[in-house]
Amino acid sequence: MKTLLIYLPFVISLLIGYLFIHILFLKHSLERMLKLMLAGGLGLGLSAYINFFSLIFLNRFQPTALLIIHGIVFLALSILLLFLIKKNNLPLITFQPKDAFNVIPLILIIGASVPLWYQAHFYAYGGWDAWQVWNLKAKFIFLGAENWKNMFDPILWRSSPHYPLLFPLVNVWGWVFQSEAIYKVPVFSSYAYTILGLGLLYYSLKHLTQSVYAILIAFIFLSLPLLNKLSYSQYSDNIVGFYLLASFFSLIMAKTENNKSFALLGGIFLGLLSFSKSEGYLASLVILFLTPVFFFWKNKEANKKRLLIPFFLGAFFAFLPTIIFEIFYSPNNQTFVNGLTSPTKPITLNRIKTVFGFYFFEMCAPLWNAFYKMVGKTMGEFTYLEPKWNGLWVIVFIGLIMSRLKCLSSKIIIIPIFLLCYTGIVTFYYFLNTYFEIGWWLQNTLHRILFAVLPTILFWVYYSLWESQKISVGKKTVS
Amino acid sequence: MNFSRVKPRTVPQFLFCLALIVLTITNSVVLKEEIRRIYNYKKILDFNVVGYQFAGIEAFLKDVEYMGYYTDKDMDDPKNAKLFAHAQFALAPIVLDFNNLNHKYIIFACSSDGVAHLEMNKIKAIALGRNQFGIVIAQRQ
Repeated sequence: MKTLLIYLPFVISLLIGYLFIHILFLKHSLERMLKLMLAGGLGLGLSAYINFFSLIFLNRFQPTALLIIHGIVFLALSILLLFLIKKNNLPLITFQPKDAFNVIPLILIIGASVPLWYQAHFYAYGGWDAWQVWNLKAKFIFLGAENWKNMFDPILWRSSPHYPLLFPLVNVWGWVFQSEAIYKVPVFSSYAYTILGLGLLYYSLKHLTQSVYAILIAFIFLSLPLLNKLSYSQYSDNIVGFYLLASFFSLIMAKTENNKSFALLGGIFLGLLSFSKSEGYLASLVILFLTPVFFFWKNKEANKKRLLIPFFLGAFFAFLPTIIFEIFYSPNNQTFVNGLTSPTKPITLNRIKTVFGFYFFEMCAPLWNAFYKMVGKTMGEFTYLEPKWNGLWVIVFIGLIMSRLKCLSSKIIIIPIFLLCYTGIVTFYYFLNTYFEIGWWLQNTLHRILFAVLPTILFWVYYSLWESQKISVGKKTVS
Repeated sequence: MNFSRVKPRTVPQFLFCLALIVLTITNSVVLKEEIRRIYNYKKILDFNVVGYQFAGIEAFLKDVEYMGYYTDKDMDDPKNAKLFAHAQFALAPIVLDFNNLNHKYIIFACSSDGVAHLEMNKIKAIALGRNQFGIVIAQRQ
């Protein structure tokens, strides 16, 4: 029973998310497993939002109220679904034999995640930022009663009080049946987001390319020790990665199929992304501005209102918690010094060189190590770098080159443009904010930023390589 | 029943899949070592516990929102910064005010008992308890 109560909140969130997705795509033949992956992230996000609003209105965490609201939402969505099914004369339960086969990749992903699960239960309290930032905020909300807002006190500057609260609220929801802030909930929520992210990556690529080899990407994630570590560390980067991928997939599908349900979903996922972390907030704003242009870039058939209205409607409601948090709760960033104006900590050329140098060494360590092996011993002191990514980024770059500009196809152009803008802004911020020593800062943050965008980048590369592939369906060949 | 599967039909697709497979195999070799390392740790410790040095202190701190945390140790040393972060996590939702002795309750996590008692005498605080990790919880008079 105790074990059931740990996982029950997540099941409730999944059910609510699935009902929502099923209603949105009632007449769409979207694969069940893809719906499930989207539903997991959506449901957890909705639960976090319900938690946030109840926290604001009741001024403390109230588990009973939270459960009642979830019950009401569940009932309302269920009734709406039944009504729509009856109105459209659709069968109540649809099941095809292929649905059973489509579960197999998820089982393989979960099977390959056993080492991750094992490690996560040893490092049960996660990494440094888990107990200094994310789970600390969750404890303040869960145990602080009316004093939960003390977590925004500037003396807690080490805990980044300006960071948004999506992940802590998910964990607090996970503790709804508990009397203590048990470690098993954040362990599972991190693990769940990893599986949902990898599942979404596979099923979205399978939907778009019909290729089952997309599962290899999940195996990469689950076998690379660095990615395991970043997954079980209980940081928000995992969550940013999921909602970034979910946003892009939804927006690409919205454009490809001229589908307003996907446009709405894209707006919602963007809002959830904005509430996940400061980097997520930045990414969501960039995508928010790029989306209208993307929808109508080389898309003359598109009805402008059909996509824009649901997109902005979804975004408006989903951005509300972020807007409320930024205006009423978030303190100023205590760890910011403007290097352009500071007389004591100005931007230097060395800082700029260090940033670009780190980018190269972080992603291309194997190339550097090969160079080091060839010449290192004869050219003074060079450092052998630990190949944290084991050459994954080198393979990504080669994959992009091999795609022969299909990576800039109008169907997915939003991804490379976003990456260009995002990289530019993040790089400028590394230059501008001279509060931290740049070497230390890059060492502690760059790999996490890369981890968050990696699912989207792998989606982009794989899709580019498989796009416009002629496929054989029975005896017909279609493209 | 109609399954459409696209095998890697072009050289780039084939090479990309091959690269992913090779990467997975090489990753797995390193991951296996990591799992073995944790397996050996688990013979001694079930899982990594954070903040155990401060367990039990909350019994002295009912309805306390803010308290002091004093240390003479070098906070540039990650070990000491980590200890403070662990204290904050373990005692949340109490806010620990670093090196501020103007609170009713103060934790002393000093390099020695002598240093802790010297500071306590300066502010006329009495020790409520000390644990085996040298952590002292004190109350100002």
